[in-house]
Order: sequence, then structure tokens, then C-alpha cells
Amino acid sequence: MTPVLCIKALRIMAGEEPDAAFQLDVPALALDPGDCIAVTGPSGCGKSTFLEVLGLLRRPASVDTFLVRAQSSSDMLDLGVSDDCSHLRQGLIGYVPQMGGVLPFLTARAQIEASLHLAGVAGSKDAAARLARLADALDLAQHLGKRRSELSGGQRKRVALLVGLSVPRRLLIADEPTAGLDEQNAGRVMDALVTVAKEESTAVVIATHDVDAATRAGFSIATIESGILSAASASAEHRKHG
Amino acid sequence: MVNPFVTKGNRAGRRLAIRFAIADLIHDRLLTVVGIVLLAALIAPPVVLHTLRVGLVETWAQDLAKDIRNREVVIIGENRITENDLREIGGWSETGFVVPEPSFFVSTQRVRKSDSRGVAVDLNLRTTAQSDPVMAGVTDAALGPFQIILSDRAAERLDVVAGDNLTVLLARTPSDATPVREPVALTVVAILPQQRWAGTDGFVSPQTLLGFREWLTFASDDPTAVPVIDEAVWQSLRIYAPTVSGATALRDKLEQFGLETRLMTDQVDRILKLETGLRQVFSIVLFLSATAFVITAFLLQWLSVVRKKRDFALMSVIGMTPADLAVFPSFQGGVMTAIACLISVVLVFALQGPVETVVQGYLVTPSDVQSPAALPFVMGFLAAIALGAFAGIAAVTTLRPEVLSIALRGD
Repeated sequence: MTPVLCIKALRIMAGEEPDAAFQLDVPALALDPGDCIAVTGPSGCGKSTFLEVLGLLRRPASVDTFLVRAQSSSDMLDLGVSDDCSHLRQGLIGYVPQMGGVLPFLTARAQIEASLHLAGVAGSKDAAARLARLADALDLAQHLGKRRSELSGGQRKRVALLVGLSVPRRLLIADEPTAGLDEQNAGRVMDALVTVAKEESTAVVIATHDVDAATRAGFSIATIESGILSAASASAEHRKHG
Repeated sequence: MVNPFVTKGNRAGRRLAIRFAIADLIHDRLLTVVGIVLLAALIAPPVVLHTLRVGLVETWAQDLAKDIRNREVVIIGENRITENDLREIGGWSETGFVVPEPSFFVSTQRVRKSDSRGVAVDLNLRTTAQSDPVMAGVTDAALGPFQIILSDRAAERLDVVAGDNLTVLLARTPSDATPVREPVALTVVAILPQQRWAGTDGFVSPQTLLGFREWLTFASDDPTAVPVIDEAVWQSLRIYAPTVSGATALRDKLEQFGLETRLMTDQVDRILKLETGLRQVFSIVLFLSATAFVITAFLLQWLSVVRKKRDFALMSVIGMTPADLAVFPSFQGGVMTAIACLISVVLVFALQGPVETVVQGYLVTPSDVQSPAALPFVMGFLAAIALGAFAGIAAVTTLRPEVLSIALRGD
């Protein structure tokens, strides 16, 4: 099976050596389609920063291999050589930020439609049906016409996730998607992520402090300890749970 | 090595950026209005000042320039001007028209309409000759002896029209006798319109006045005799520069020649100086406004981008490229500047009425108030809009990837 993501010898640093605030090494990480990984570790260990690198929002300090499978073929894109890959977030890679995630001047529906538009799938019946299904799953169907100021914190969080989920992707990254949500909504979010992973072969990477919830939902756990992400068995773990 | 899969944005991203920019302008309407008002406050002053300068000063200046009297250099006092002097002065490039005039005691005469008991009027008799700019369009031919052209006011006071006869009541007093009166008939050949000559004056040929002088000074017993003019000595001139702006040069030349003068163009001079002054003020205001506009446009866009960097980060998250992101503030900058320009244009149109009223009150001859040419405005507005748009692009370049990722962490 062609992996969705293949990383070798990736190093992330905040600040310049030797006074870097932290350093995170990822010796190797390979994600197959449908893999779900939850990155855990203490606050400040670099979970969000790692996810930003995966989401192409931040450049790693160095990397040997950083390949992502193209959206419509099995070709691998070398992200280690590109300065700006922001357009890859239009469809290939989805990123859901930890907080906010909703533009203040648009309704939730308009922001989702913009995302679909950029991905080139706006207007299709499949996309509309899929969106309705996901909105129901996240209990957002009644709230899509609202702007950020009219949404509660939890609703904003789920709308941001819905924006990320609205486009079928190879890789979806969500930074602490359940933080601040009640148990019921956190369960909805985790279910939605796992469902998309299974049904659409999307590899999902989240950061979380709730290891139990992630494990219950079927996520493999990758832990950051002493500045190293240990995720060698992630794929195998997930398959075992699956 | 260039990744062949990486492309730089697409039209969908640009269109979306414009939609977002419009939505944000409406959503943040209070700040949008403040920004537009601020920009309009910087664009409007030079626009309004330029319109006022053109409307008020240039219209006045052109109106005064059209008035022939403003080309005249008035000779003060009595002088001794020979025919040779006259030929020399007439040959100067600074001279547009010149005609000699006798002493004041010759030119001021009591006149009455012939064959009537009408009122006698003390008329100032001026000289005229062929190509007299004052007579342009009234009569092109040189006046013959004993013909007169009257100003409108003089004709009204004497109750005459063209074709009527006047009687000049010449009077001289021998030292040992009673005053002798000698009536001389003059034919009115034309009436000068009020706009052309405002005084109570009549215009005759130099020979006519020379004949009067000969009789008044006892050099002749017949005031109707036409004397030889070649050897005459005159006391004054009626002299005009070719253009209003040339009047000062003619005055200087005459003063070098030894004649004391006064400019009829003082008013024009003042207007022209006012125009020059306003032009300088306009340049200063334009410079200050342009500088303030550049600073404000860049600051507004920079502040907007800093304030909305989380929004930019979210736009980047859904896949908008840096080029797409640049469209957002540049469109907003361009639109806000365009609206500010529009406000300035509306102000200019609003000023048209009051300016027209003020200017018409000062014009000698009613005429259209000058409007500034549209092209410089259009060019200026386009430059301002382009600058406003560029300010947005410049501001968005501060959004480096690490800035966006930091912005994403804060709510």
C-alpha cells in the first residue's frame, strides 16, 4: 500500500541553536490511508508545532524525507523542497487549528463553501450530501447560518472541524479537536474523525491530552518524550485496534 | 529544484479573496468608514484647493486678461513727447498700440448735443487711431477729423446716438479781452459699449485735438483747421501692451524712457500674484497631503493586517496562497481609496454652485467659470488607488509563515 505520508529524520526547532526553546525530532513516521494517530505529550513539548509542520504551516529545521501522496494519484510530492505549499491545503491536506478556526466576517456555511470552492468540489451533489451528513454528525445543522459572534465556543470548535472535514482529503490534521468540549460533543468529534478515516481512507493526525478518549475512539498513540516523537508502531497499533 | 506539483494560487483563490475582502469591509463597517473618511480627509484638500484655484482665480485672471483696459499703461503728468519719441515707442516689441495725447486742458472740453438745449457735459476727449484695441469690433477705420466715438456713459448723458452731431464749446480768453467761445461740430460715428470703456469719454483723432490746441493756445484762429502733425509735441500717450502679462514690461520700458507711469493692470497683477501664491500653496498642500496619504494608506493597511492576522492565518489554513492573501488587503485598500476619491469628487461638485456665485459677482463680462481639467484628477485618483492597493500588498508581506502559525494559536 502506498503510504499517505512518509517522514524521515525530521527536526523542528523553535528559535536558533544553541538557545532553541525546544527541539523535536521525528526519526520516522509513515501513515497509511485510514490511519488515525493521536500525538500526546506534556504541554510545550511541541505537539502543535509538529502538527503545523504536517499542515505545511511551518517549515521544519531539517528533514531527510517529507513525502505526501498526491490527491489524485499515487505520486509522492516532496514537500521538503518547496517554499510555499499552502495551496496543498485546498484539498490534499486539511488542518484544523486548536482555537477559533472560524472567520468573523462569514457565516459557517459560507466558510465551508469557500473551502469547497478552493478544493474545486463546490456545487456537487455528493459534496452537499456529505456536508449535510457531517453537519448532522457534529450537531451543527442548525448553526451553519451563524457567524462566529453568534456561535458558542464549542460550536466554533466543531465548525472549524467541519471546515476541515468538508473536503475529502488524504491527510487531516486537527490540533486538540476535543479540547473544551463536553463529553457528548467530544465523542461526536472523535466519531466523525474516525468515520472519515475509515470511509474515505483519510489519514488523521490529532494532538490531544485525552489519551483514553483517543484510544477508545481507535487512535494509535504517538508520544513525544524528551524531544523525540515515538511513532514507529503507530500504523500497526491502529490496524490492531481496527 | 522546483516541485512540479506546487503551483502558485489560482483564480478561485483570487475571487474568493475579493469576496472575503468585501464581506470583511461590510462586517467591519465602522472601521471601514473611519478609514475612508481618513483617506478622504487627505485626498480632498488638494482636490478642493485645485478646483477653487482654477474656478476662482483662473476665471478672474482670464476675465481681466480679456479686458483691454488692463493692458493699458497710464502716463502720469504732462511730458514732452515728440513725434520721434512716438515712433521709437511705437517700434518697441513691448508696445501693442500707442496714440499721442495733448495736455489735459485741451482734452477736457464742454460738449453738448447739437441743435438742442440739452445738458452740457464736461467730456474727456481721448485720442484714437487705426488698430486701437479699444475700438476693435466697434470701428476698424481710423477716425476722420471732427468725428467722435463716445463711451456708452457719455452718449447716455449727452442723449445722443451714432449719427448725431455734438458741439464742442471751445473757449479761450485773451489777456486783454472777454472770453471767446468757438463751437466746433463733431459727428458721433459709434458708441463704445459699457464693457469696453466705463468712463464718460469721447475719442477723436489726434489731428482734431491738435487743431483744438492750436486754437486754444492762440497759434491758430480756426479750430477746424487740420494742422501738420509731424512736428507736434505731445504731453501724454494712450499706450497698451500686446497682452496683459506684457503690461509690466511695457511699464518698465516707459519708466526707463523717463515717463512716470501707473499700471491699469494692478488688479490683474494682484490676481496673477494670487494665482502664483495659490499655486505654491497648492504644491505644498499637495506634497503634504500626498505624504500623509502614503503614510496613512500604509499604516491603515498594516494595522488592518496586524489586527486580522488570525483571519489571514485561517484563510491560509483553507488553502489560500500568499498571492491570494495579498489580494484581500490590496482590494480593500483600493476600494477604500476609490471611495475616498469619489467623496472628493462629490465635494468638488458640491462646490461648483458657491464658486459660480462668487466668481460671477466679480466678473466684468459674465462667462463660464473655469473647471479644472479632468485628466490630472483621473491620473491622480488612479495613482492613489494603485498606491492604496500596493499598501495592502506591502502590508501582507509582513505575514511570514511563522507569524501566521503564531496567530493561529491565539483566539
